Amino acid sequence: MMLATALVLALNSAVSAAASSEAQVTRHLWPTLDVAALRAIGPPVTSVLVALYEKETTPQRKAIIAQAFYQLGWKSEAAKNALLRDIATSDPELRLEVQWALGRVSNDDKVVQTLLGVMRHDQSPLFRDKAACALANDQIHLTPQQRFRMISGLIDALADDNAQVRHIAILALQIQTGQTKGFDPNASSSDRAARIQTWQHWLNEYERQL
Amino acid sequence: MTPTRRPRLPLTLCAAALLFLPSLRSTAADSIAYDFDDALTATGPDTFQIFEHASGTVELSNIYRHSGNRSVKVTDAASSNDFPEMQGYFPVQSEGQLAFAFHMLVADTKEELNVALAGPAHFQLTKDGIAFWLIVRDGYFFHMSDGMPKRLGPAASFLWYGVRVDYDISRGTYRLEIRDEFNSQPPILVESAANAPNQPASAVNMFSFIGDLADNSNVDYYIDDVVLDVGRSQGTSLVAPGRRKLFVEYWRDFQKLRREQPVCLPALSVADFGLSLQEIDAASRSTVLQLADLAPGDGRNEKQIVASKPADGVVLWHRGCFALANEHYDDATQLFERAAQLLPQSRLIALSKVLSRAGAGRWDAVDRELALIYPTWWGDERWVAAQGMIALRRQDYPKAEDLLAPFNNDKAGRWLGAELTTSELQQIRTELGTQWWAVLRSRLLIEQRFYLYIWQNQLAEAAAFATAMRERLTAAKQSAGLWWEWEGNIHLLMNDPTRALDCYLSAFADNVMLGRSSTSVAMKLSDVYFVLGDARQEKRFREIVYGTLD
Repeated sequence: MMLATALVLALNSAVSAAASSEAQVTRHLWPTLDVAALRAIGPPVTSVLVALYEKETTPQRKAIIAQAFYQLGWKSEAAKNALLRDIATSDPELRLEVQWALGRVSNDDKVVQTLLGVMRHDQSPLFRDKAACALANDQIHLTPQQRFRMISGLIDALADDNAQVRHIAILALQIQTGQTKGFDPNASSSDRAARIQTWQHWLNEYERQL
Repeated sequence: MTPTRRPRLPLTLCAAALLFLPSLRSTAADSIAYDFDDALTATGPDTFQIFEHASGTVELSNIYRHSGNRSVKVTDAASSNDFPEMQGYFPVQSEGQLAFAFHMLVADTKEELNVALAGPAHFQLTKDGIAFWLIVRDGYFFHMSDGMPKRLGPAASFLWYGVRVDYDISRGTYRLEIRDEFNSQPPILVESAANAPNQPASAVNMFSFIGDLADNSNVDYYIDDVVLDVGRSQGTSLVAPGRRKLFVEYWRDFQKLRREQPVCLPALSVADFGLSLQEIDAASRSTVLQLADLAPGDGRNEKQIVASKPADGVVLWHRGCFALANEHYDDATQLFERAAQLLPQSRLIALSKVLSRAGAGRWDAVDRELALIYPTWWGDERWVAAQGMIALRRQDYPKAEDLLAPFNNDKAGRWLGAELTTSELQQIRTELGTQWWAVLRSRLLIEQRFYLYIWQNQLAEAAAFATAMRERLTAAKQSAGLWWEWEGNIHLLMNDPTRALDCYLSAFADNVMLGRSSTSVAMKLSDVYFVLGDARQEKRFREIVYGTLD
C-alpha cells in the first residue's frame, strides 16, 4: 500500500513537473511565437514541443509548433516522427510547415526520400514546389553521403515527364551546386537527355570524391 | 609596433560588433595584411565584422600565434543555434587575380570549420556568391569545387598550416596550396580548381572564418597573418609573415621604452573591463572597444558614442589614462575610482589605479592594491609590464636580506615560491595569522626587485637573483618551480635557450609533482623548442597547453 502510494505520488510529481514545463513552453508559442525564449530553455525544450504537438488537435497550432522546430534547428528523432505523421495532412498550412521543418530536425534518408516523392508525385504543384524548396534549403544536418544521395534524387527528377518537376528539380540543384549545366526543363527531350548525361558524369565524379 | 597602411584599395568602414581593431601592415600598394598583433592601435578605416552568438566567440589569443605575439581564436559550440564568425571586407573584385593567404591552427581537426571567399551575393553557391570554400572536418581538408566537396588531404591538430589561394576571377578557377609549418606532410597542391559554383567571373569582396553551419561543431581554431593581394601573379610570394614574437621580445620592447612614468596598458577585450558576452550586447561591445581605442584626450569623439553604463565607465578610464600620461596622478586616481564604481569587476581599471598610485609615490596603497588584484593578472604579459613600470618608478628597494627576513621560518618559507592565486591569497591569512601581510608584501617587493634588474637590463644580476631564490627554496625543501621558470625567462632573454630549457623543464617537473597548472611553463617550453628547432617537442607542448586551458 505504501509503495503504491509512493508510486502514485512520484507519478503525480512527474506529471505535475511536465505540466508546468508545458505551461512554460506554451507561453512562448501563442499568441506569438517567441523562438528566442524557447532557445533559452535549451535542447530539452524539444521533447516538450513534441508532447504539445502530439496532443494538439488544431492544425494552426500544430503549424506554429512546426515553425518552432524549424527555427530552432535542433535534431530530434521524436520531432521527426511526429512531423512525418502529418506529411500528408490535408491542411495546407500545416503540410508546408511540416515539409520545411523535417530537414531541420533530422538527417534521415527517409525524410529526403519522402520529400523527393512529394516533389515528383504529389497532386498539388504547390506541395511539389515547396518540397523542392525544402530539399534545396532545409536539409541542414545531412552527412556528405546523404547529400550525395539527395542530389542523385534531384538529378533523377530531371528526367521526369512533368515539366514543373523538371523545373523545380533544376532549381534545387542550382541552389545546392551553384550550376545548371545548361539544363533547360523545356528543351527538347534529346537536349535534356544530353544535359542529364553531363549531370551523371558530374555525379560520378562526386561519388568518387566521397 | 605602430603600423602604417597605405592601401590603394580603400577599405570599408564596418559597423557594430567589433571585438578588436587589428593592426595592419602595408606591403605593396594593392595588398593588405592583418597580423592581429598589438591590437587597439587605431590605423584608420577598419574592415572586420565579428559575429558572436551564444557560446561562440572570436577573440585575440596569445596562446598560439604563427607570427608576432597574437592570433585570432574562433570558438564554436554545438547547439548554440548559430556560429561565431570573423568576416572581412574589401572592394569588389570582378576580374583579374586575387591572392588570399592565411595561417591556421586547429585544436581538433575532427571538429568542423569553414573558410570562404565570397562576393556581393554573399554565402550562397551561385555566381558572385561563394567563390572559394575550404572545410576542415573529420581530420581532413576539403574544398567545395564545382558544386561538390572534394577531399584534399589529412589535417593534423596543433599544426600551423599556411593556406594560399590564387584566384583567377575571370576564369573562375584557383590554385590552392596548403603546407604545414614543418613540412611534415606532403603539401596539398591543386591547380586550376573550378570555383565553388563553377561560374567564371564570380566576383569577391569578403572573406569569412566560421565554425560549422549545422551547429554540431565545438571547434577551437586560431588564425594569423591574413593577407589579401590584388593583381599578383600566381605563385609569387606574398608578404612574408613576421617572425613569431616570443614573450621575451615583448619584454625587450618594453625595456627599450624604459617607462619610468607609468601609463595605462591597452585593453584587449571587453573582459578587461569586467564585462562578459552575456552582459553586453553587440552594440555596447562595439562602443566599449571604440572608446578604449581612442587616443588619450580625444574627448571630441567620446560624445559621438552612445552613452551606456559600460561606456561611461570606459570614458572615465580613458580620461584617467590621459591624466596619468600627463602625470596628473591624483586626478587619474579619482577618475579610475569613479570608473571602478561603474565597472567594479574591471581588472584593467584596478591596475590603472595602482599605476596612478605608483606615479604619486603612494607605496603603501600600491602594495595593498597590487596584492588584491595579483590573481586576476596571473599569466598576462601586461602584468609584467605593469610590474616593470612600478619597479622603475620605485627604484629604492630594501636589501635582499631584509626582504627575505619574513621568510625565515618553515611556515612562511613556502610563500617565496607560491603562485599567488585567489585561493593561495586566502590561504596565506589562514596559515600565517598576523604575519601574513609582512610575508605577502615582501614577496611582492622581491618580485618587483627582480623585475627592476630586468628592466634595467642587468640580466646577469636578475639570473643570479632568481638562482638565489630557488636555491633557498630547494634547501628548505619548498617548491621552487616558479623561480625555475623565472630564471628560464632570463636565460631566454640572454639568448641562451639551452639553459632556459633546463630551467623550464625543472619548473614543469615541479608543477607536475605538485599538481599545479602548467599552462605558463608549457607555453614557454613550446616557445623554447621553437627557438631550438625541435618541431616534435614544440607541438607536444602546444597540445599540453591546450589541455590545460579551460
